[in-house]
Formats: sequence, C-alpha cells, structure tokens
Amino acid sequence: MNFFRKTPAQTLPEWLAVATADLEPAAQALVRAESEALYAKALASHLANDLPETLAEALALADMGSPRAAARRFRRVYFTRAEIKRMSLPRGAAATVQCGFWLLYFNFAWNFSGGNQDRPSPLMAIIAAGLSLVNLILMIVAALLSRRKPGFDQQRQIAGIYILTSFFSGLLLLAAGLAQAKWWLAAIAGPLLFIDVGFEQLKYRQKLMRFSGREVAIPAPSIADQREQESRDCFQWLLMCMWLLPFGVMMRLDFLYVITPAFFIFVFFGVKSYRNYRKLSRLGDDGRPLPLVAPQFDPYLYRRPAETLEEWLRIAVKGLESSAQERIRDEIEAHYADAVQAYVESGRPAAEAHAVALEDLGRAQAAGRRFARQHLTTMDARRISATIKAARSLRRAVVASVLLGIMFIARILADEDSRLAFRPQAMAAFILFQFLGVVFVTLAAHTLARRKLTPEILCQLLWLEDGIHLIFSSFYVEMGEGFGWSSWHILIFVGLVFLIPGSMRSVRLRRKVRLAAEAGMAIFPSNPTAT
Amino acid sequence: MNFKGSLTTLILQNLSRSPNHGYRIAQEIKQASKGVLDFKEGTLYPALHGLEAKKLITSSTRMENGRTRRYYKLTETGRKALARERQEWLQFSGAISLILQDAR
Repeated sequence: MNFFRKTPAQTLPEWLAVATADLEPAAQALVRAESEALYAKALASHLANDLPETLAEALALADMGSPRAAARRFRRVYFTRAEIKRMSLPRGAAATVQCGFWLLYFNFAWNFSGGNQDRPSPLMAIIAAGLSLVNLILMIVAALLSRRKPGFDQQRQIAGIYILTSFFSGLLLLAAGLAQAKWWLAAIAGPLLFIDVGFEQLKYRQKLMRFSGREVAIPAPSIADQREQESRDCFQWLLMCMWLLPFGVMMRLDFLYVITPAFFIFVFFGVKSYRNYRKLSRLGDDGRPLPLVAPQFDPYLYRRPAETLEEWLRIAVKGLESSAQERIRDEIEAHYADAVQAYVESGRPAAEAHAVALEDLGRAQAAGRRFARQHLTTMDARRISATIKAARSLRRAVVASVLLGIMFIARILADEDSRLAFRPQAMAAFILFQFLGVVFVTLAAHTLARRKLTPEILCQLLWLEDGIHLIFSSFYVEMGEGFGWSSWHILIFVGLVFLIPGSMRSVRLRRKVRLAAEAGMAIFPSNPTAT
Repeated sequence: MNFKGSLTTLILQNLSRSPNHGYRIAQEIKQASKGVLDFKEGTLYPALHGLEAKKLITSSTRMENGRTRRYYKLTETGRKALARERQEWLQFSGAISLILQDAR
C-alpha cells in the first residue's frame, strides 16, 4: 500500500499549478516563466532526437521532476501567500500569544526547579528565573516591534527575536526536564520542539534577507481579512480559556499566580477581538460604514405562522442542503397546487382555497425540525467536509499520532499517585491501548479517505471518527481520575455530555447519507473523488 | 385525530395497493377513515422520507399535468414490515376492544 501515491501531472499547466500553488503572485510569475523556458528547452532537445511529439512532451515533463518536490524547493526560496498574508495581518496577536506562553514557561521552570517544594534547587531556580526574564524582555520587544508599520525590516527583527526566544525556551525546558528525573521526556521533546520552531524562523529570516532588495507587494489587509482574523482570534482565546483549567491542573500550574491571571488575560483579549470583529462587521469592503438597514423580519426567528407558501417553504427547508431543499420544495409545491385545485373545484373561492391548503400543511417550524432529522443539513455537510479533510491529511495523522504517543507515555512516566504503583501493568496497558487505538483508527481513516469516496466509505469514516471520540473520552476519564474524581461520575458525565449525543448524531448522519445517496442527492460538498 | 406512530403503518397500507404520491396518500387515508384521520402534510412528508431511509419504500419522479410528482412504492422489506405491523395492531386493538366491551 502506498500512502504517498499521487496522480502525476500530465501537462505543463498541471505541473505548474501544483509546483507554484502556495507561492505569492510575483514569485509565481517568475517561477512560471523560468519553468516554461526550461520545459521548452527540454522539449526542443527531445524533438531534435526525432521523437514523436507526445513522447517528447512527456519526456520533457518528466525532466522537470516531481511538481511536489519542486513546490517544496520553491517554498524554501520564494515567499508563499501565507507568509505575505502574515506580514499584512493585524499586529500584536502573535506577540500576545508569546507573552501568554512566557507565563507557562516561567511556571514550568519554577515548578520543575523545585520552587514549589520544600527543598528547592537554588541553581535551577536562578537559571529558570534568568531565562524567563530574558524571554520576557524579548517578547516585550517583539510586541513593541510588531506595532510598527509592517515591512521587511520589522519582520526580520521579529523573526530574529523569535529565534532567540525559541532557543531560550528550549534551554529552559531542557534545564527543567533535567532537574526532575521523571520529566526526561520533556527534557528531550521540549527543546527539540523549540529548536524546530527556531529553525523555521531562521529559514524565514534568511528568505527575508535574500529578498530585501526586491519589491514584494505587502498588501494592506482587507476588511474581510481583518474580520476573519479577529473572529479566529476570538475563537482561539475562547478555546484557550476552555483548555486552561484542565491543562493547568494537569501540569500543576499555580491557580493564584498563573491560571486565574491567564484566564482573565485570555478573556480580556477574547472580548477585545470580539469587539473589533463587531466594529469591522459594520464596515463594507471599501472600509466605509455600511448603511444601517432595519433587520429583515425573520418568521423562523419569531415563530409566527407562515402566511404564504413561499414563507412556509423558506421556514421548513431552512438549514437543509440545497439538493434536499429542492426535493422538498418540488414535493410540497405539487401537493399545495393539488390541494388548492381540489378546494377550488369543490366551490371555494381561490383566496380561501389557498388559505385552507396552507393551513393543511401544518406548522412550518415543526415540519422543518422533522425534515432536518431526515435530510442532510448544512451543518452535516460541514461535518462531512471536515471529516474527509482531516482523514485525507497524512501529515496530520502522523503528527497527531506522535503527539498523542508522547502525551500518553508522559502520562505513564509522570504518574506519581498510588494508582500506577498499585496496578502498573493494567494502567500501562490501558494507556498503550489508547495510543494504539488512536494510531490505528487515524491510519485506517486515512487509507479509506484516499479511496474513491462513496457513501459507504463516508459512513465508515464517520464510524472511525466516533472511535477516536471514544478513545479521547477514555482519556478524559483517566485525567479526571487524576483529579481524584470518581471514574463512574466522569463516565456518566462524559457519556451524557459527549458520547451519547455525539453517537446519536452520528447514527442519524449515517442514515441521512444513505438516504441522500439512494435518492441521488449530493452528499459530498466538494470534489467527491480522492485526489 | 392522530395516533402517534400509526402514520407509517397507514402509509405502508396505502402503498400496498399501488404506488402513490403524497397528496393522494393523504386524501385516501382521510377518505378511508371518513375524515377521522387527518394528517398535516408537514408530518406526512418527513414520515415518507423516513420510510424511504429505512428502505421500506422507494421513490421516483414522474411528470403529470405539467407537475413533477414523486411516486412512492412499497418494497419487499416494506411489505414484510406492513404484515408484521398489521398483525401487531390487530392483536393490540382486539385486546383493547375486549377490555372496553367488558367495561360496558
């Protein structure tokens, strides 16, 4: 089985599309011109050998090599769209996140150097405090720099600071890990992670230096971009707030000095992002305030009875996928026309016939809820799309498996309470089972997702996704036990809040997928075949 | 009047005679019950789509008098399900009738 099998490019435009997909427009034009010249040269040499034209074209394309390998090389040399976009995004957010991380570094260093124990190690405490202080200063400088006008110089300086920060953070975790024998994994994984981040920044900085003389248009962020960024920031701050408590408790962070202040800081920035988002929502794409429009009366919102067939249909099919909407509309319209005709033929006036036929349809809101139980909704379509996307990414599968492996092994090694000592084999086997389960399910999903997608395969993918949720829920149970809660209480809580509703939704979704497939309706939101 | 859960049996019974479309199914049930059973269409169509999801019926579209109509047809599984439900209903209603007759 070859996970890396890709459809090879058949023509030069296909090759160029893959090779230059991530590059910024100016770099794209440059690379295209160079590649086309190379291709023309190779083609001419093959034609000179009296080869048929189609064969010569194929050979010339083969001479260009793999477009994906070329794309990797180009990304190393030229700016990508993402990098250019990063330069133009609202400032301050990255620096703020870094400041938040600084708090975590400091707390790790303090805890692992023995600051919270009876016999702290003075040397480790000094190293931890010193490195944390240096990092803090660097991050403040980065935050101040990021407030300046975006440009190459500012980007270079910030990248330089991030390189130093990553280096010091790696050192900090190394020292902290070495100070506590149990955290040897943190001593290895932490520095490696930060060194990797540092190298990425280094490459970025080198790229910035290489192009310092060249004009690269850094577009001013559009209102839509800013709005998207602010909404994403707000969501991220909210997520961080949600994760802070379990993560903090698991990592034994201090409630008074770290968790509570960090929570309020996250809330503050989350609210700030939300307010910015609201402000930007009132602006048009040209930056001018949008004219104030009275909100349209939405019958669904106010739950008043529909007054026309169109209104009834609008309420009943709200939120359904377009193919399901079309089917229901067709059926109900034909039904309504029949009913009106029958009432008119029985001697009722046309207006009364329409009113009675509409009344016969019943409450649109209730019908809408029933239809949503039977047909794919836009939310379902989004979930299907996300499931396919997540399963298709091999890198995501591998990274998730490795990270989970580290997390599960760290859990075994870091366990200090009597549970592990009392039943070490059972506990280790349970954690190993969790890890292997996640790896197996993730890889199985990936293998399935690379095949031509059919409703059956999609249902199997949804099954596998449920499997991952189940394994993660068992991780929550295990984590909850660490807090000293009863595992039965946690099982019931997790079951009621996550697993049972999630499984019911999945069962319903699988049924809807089958119905949609049999009725010949669209299921896959995007390209239905594997790339 | 509407007994919850009985709609699917009534639809299956109606379709056991011949394929039919939604409007006519509703009308025929109403007429057969002499106006006692009157289902709102907002209930009928989700029920039809649910039966289709369970593969008890199938559907196909036809053009009729310039309108696209979706005809529903009973499947073999649906026929078996109808026989089972009919048997259960007759047993159930027979038992209730016996009790109510005793109460007179």
